[in-house]
Amino acid sequence: LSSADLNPGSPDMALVSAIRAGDQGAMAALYDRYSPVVYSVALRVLGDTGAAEDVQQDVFMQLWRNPGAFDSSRGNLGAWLAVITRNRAIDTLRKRRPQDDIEDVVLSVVPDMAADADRSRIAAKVRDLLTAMPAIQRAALEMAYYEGLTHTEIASKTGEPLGTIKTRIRAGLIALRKALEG
Amino acid sequence: MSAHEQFADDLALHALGALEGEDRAALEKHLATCIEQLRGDMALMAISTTGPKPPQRSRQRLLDAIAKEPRAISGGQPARRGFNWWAAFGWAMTVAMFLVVVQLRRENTFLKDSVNTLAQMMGQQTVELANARRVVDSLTDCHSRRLENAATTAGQGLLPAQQDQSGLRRQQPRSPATRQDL
Repeated sequence: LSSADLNPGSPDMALVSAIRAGDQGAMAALYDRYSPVVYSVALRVLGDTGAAEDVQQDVFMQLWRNPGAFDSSRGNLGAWLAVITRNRAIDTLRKRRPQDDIEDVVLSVVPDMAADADRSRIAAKVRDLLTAMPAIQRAALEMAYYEGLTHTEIASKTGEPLGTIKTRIRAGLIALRKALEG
Repeated sequence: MSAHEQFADDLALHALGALEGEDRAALEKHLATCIEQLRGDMALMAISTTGPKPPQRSRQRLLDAIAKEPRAISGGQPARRGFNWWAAFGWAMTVAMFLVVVQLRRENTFLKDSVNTLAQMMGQQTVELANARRVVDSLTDCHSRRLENAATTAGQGLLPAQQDQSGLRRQQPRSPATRQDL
């Protein structure tokens, strides 16, 4: 966790605290800050603007109804929202009930992304890394993450051995981690 | 990810249920941390997603929705799904009341049996008292003069005796020349 995430004075924590107090203006500010990420993830998974809007609405309403589901010890707010959005979008894509509660989404993000500039910088770095990755490795990662496919389904879809898919996904994650740590 | 390698052997033992003590605790802690970090890495992948901004109407849609759902909760302690003490208290009271009812029914049955037993004893004692009174009445009757055991006197040529309900014979008053006066 970054020190900024744990700092009660950080912009994210100030917004969440205000939302906990029922401040609708704070909710609007939080929307302005994170809706591009939330909407992009939902649209990337679903490929449909209407469905993406619905998922975005659902994610922000969950935060409004239960702001206590997020606290600073559970990771960066932007990353947390992105993961929740991805999970909800996958649930929608698969036409199934939500598989996990937002309170159960626990993640650890090493880079400091409290400021918008930091978040943009990290996002650009990840994009560069994915672009530089072998296409088949990136495809395996994206199928798992944006399409919600299991490794068995990916193997079936690509016609490649299961072990190969596992290795590619693992190698992709290791590369991602090394690049972020470096 | 590199730290994960040192747990490879322990992972197999854990799967077999053959890992215990500190080794098991260390592995489970590592797994939880590792999963959180991997989720964090994948969250960065989500944050790196690019796409169009959400339409302006979705912002108004969200603001309208939260205006219709003003939250009563303020102050903002993190909400946690946890043990519902009120529900547990209700169930505990229900069980306690059920046990009390069962105990009262047992005591009620026991008391009814006791009352029946006492009633029977009283009936017997009433009969015995009535018999005793008849004996006493016979003994204290002012018209009685002589009392003999009918079994011993009836066949000895003495005065004819009358047998009453007490099983004793009461001899009729006789002339002054009787053998023994009472």
